[in-house]
Amino acid sequence: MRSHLEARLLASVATVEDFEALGSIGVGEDDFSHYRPMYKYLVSVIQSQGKVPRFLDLKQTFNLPETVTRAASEFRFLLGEFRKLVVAQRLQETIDKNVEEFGEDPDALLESLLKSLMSIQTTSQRHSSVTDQSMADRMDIYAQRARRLAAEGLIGIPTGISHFDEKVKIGWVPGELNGLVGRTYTGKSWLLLYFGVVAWQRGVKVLFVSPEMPVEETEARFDALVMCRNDIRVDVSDLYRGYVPSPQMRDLAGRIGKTSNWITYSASDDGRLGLTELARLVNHYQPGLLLVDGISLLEAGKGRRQQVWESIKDISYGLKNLAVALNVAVIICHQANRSAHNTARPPGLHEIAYGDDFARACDRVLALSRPQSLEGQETLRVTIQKFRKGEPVFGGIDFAFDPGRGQINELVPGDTSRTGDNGEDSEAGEGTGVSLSLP
Amino acid sequence: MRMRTQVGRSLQRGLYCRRLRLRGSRMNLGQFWQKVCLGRFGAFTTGGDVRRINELAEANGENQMRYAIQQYAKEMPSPSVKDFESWLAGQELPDEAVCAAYLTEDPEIVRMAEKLETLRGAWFPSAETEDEIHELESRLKGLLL
Repeated sequence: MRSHLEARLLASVATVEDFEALGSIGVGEDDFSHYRPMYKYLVSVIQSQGKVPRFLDLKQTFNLPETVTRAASEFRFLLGEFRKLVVAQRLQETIDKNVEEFGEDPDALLESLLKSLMSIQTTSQRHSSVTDQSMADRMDIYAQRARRLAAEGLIGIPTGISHFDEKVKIGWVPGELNGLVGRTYTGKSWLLLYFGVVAWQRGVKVLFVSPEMPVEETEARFDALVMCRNDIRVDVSDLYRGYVPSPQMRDLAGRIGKTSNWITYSASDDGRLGLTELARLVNHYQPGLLLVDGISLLEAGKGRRQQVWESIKDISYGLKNLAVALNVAVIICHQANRSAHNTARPPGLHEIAYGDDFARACDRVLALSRPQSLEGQETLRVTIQKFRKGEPVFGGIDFAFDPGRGQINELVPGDTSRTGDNGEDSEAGEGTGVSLSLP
Repeated sequence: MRMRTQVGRSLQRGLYCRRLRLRGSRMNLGQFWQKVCLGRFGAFTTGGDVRRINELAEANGENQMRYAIQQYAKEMPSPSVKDFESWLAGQELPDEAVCAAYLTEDPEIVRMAEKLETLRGAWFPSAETEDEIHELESRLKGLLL
């Protein structure tokens, strides 16, 4: 049955494009167990002559059964059937291999199976496109994007960084992996929350995953940020200690309580979180934006020990695959390993554990630094070190940064939210509130 | 568009800049260490400590050392030259010009130095970024060193 399908499929390859279609669905030499020499022969003839061999030659050389013919009209059907067969076979092989390896430990088996099966799914979904032929279709897509841009002001999810939102007009895009790097206590987690709040206020569903911070702490930070953006100032330490909310706060909380667009997830009991669990969470909650507070506590997969470089590489590319496969924008923090007295300089690639792999996997990399505070204004500087869809910004973008009181906002010339030179805050309503303060 | 570093008019006058430089350099580093120890920690220093600090200052740059002592004093509850040396070995301090700029505490000069440090942190600097770095370096060195 299988050998017959292989023979019919290869015999039906009438053009070089047909042959390329095999590769485009992920079918290769290894998938032909009976007619592998015939496949190799097709490759060699196409490479040497630029065309497929005659059916007669194929039939005589490989002694094809009488029932096998070259019917160009059958090719697409046969290709579809063969792909199903290949996927079924890979599934079987994956399950067998995993059962053999982890059969004694059901938890490890489940973890490993989920990971392996997801990679099969990704492969089958990875599609190629006939680039020249589809050019006309792309014109429609571009026009559609332009209409969206005109209507919404930007493509993707708002970032809260004017360079992306207003200049380039490309926010966080589904399928993108975005890295946030900074030294200890620079403000990575706060900035991550800020990105989340900006997106959430525009109605985007946010999944915040923290492998180290408890849910309670994350939610207190969320409250402080959201209140500040609604011109209500509260010290986040007060929230940890206990605080009697004002009527305005209760009113705001009541209005926000009607939405359910922000999910906070803390690490599992052992403090580790696997990529497969992340994928499960994304599948379950279907967020538009996934925020992961720290790469170091993520793990690529259970069942085998890994070197750090392997782990960072696997997690980085695993997250990228996850972003593409599940069509979600992902932002992840990664820590730089130096705490020097040169806080104005963004951490270098060499200071990030296996930064090369991390940077390669990311579509954008934002590095954080903290210029000296001389005018009573804490500042966080965000430099855009890598931006696949645009130019990097090495000079940095400054944020007014008083996260303890929920204030994080980009500093623009003439910004009214900047506190005075004496460092004293002005009254509430100074301009940190934003027009879109509620989703 | 190329970034233009805005430096105040007064800053561009050499006299003012020399005054800035002098303000930070009235005492040698040994004396500065003594002052920091006495003023901040109430601890006494020995002649050997002062000599060692002066030696370190000769080996590194003077501004860098002064800046390092300042930072060390902010962090450490009790000073010792030995501890300072091991602390220093683990630091990656800014270069002489940037340290000199930080020591002036002049907002415009500090801003300029920070801009320079930020640009130096570029992972894949473009030719334009390199030019900007060079320009800022020359200006800071011209002003402060």
